[in-house]
Amino acid sequence: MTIYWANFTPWSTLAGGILIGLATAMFLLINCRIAVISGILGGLLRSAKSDIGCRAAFVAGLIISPIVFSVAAPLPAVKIDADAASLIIAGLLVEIGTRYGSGCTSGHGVCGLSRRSPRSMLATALFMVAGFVSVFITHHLMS
Amino acid sequence: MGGAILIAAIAFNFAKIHPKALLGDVIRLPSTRQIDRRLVLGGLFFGVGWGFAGYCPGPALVSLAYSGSNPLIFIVTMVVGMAILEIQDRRRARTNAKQSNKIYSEPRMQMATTTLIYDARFNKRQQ
Repeated sequence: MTIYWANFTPWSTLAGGILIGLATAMFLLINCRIAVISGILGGLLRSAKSDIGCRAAFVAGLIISPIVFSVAAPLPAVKIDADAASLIIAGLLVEIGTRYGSGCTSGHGVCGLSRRSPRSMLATALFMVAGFVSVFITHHLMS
Repeated sequence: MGGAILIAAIAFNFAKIHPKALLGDVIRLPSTRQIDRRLVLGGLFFGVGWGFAGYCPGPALVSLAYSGSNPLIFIVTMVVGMAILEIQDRRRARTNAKQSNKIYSEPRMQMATTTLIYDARFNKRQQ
């Protein structure tokens, strides 16, 4: 297996991680919610509960953030070369997985591991391994 | 991820000691501790899907505004999938509720009839 050293940027990755951590911390301590992006998105579309404003604001922030970023610095290029069919398959798999696994990378990976939840540790280990295998098969063996 | 966990872990530890958020609500953390088949299969499905196109929900939302149609297709599919699963789950919950109603209502009916019979006998004897 090759490591793409051009894509290996430990410092900016660490900085990004710290920002995610800060956002998670603020969301928890200010809004008393755990930042589970899949759950927030789901709740936004599912119900008209009282916290809909909180959820909408969070999602809006996520969508607007690159626009704010682009004022200060050029946006890093996102290179996703997937066709529509694989995006649809991926979207469905991710939705089924987050629904039945009760969380995604933010919910289990960041929030769950931060509070040392055994469920999240298992879920994170499983989706990391499944992700590696999936990338290996789709991007290395099949192409 | 290490950086994020490092910072977030401080916040979660703080929340354990002071479980009141700045906006006044009590901080409630998930209390489920059971490891079941749903969690395991869900984690695996999520991982496969994540690796398949390279998106998980957060980054897809973030790149929605500036990275062409790819994240849009992904998010729209997620939302459609969500709607389908939601409808399915609600339907299942409804049939489950109906079934458990049946189970509960039948013995209750029986009990009601037996008390009626007893009452009738008691009344006869009194007369």
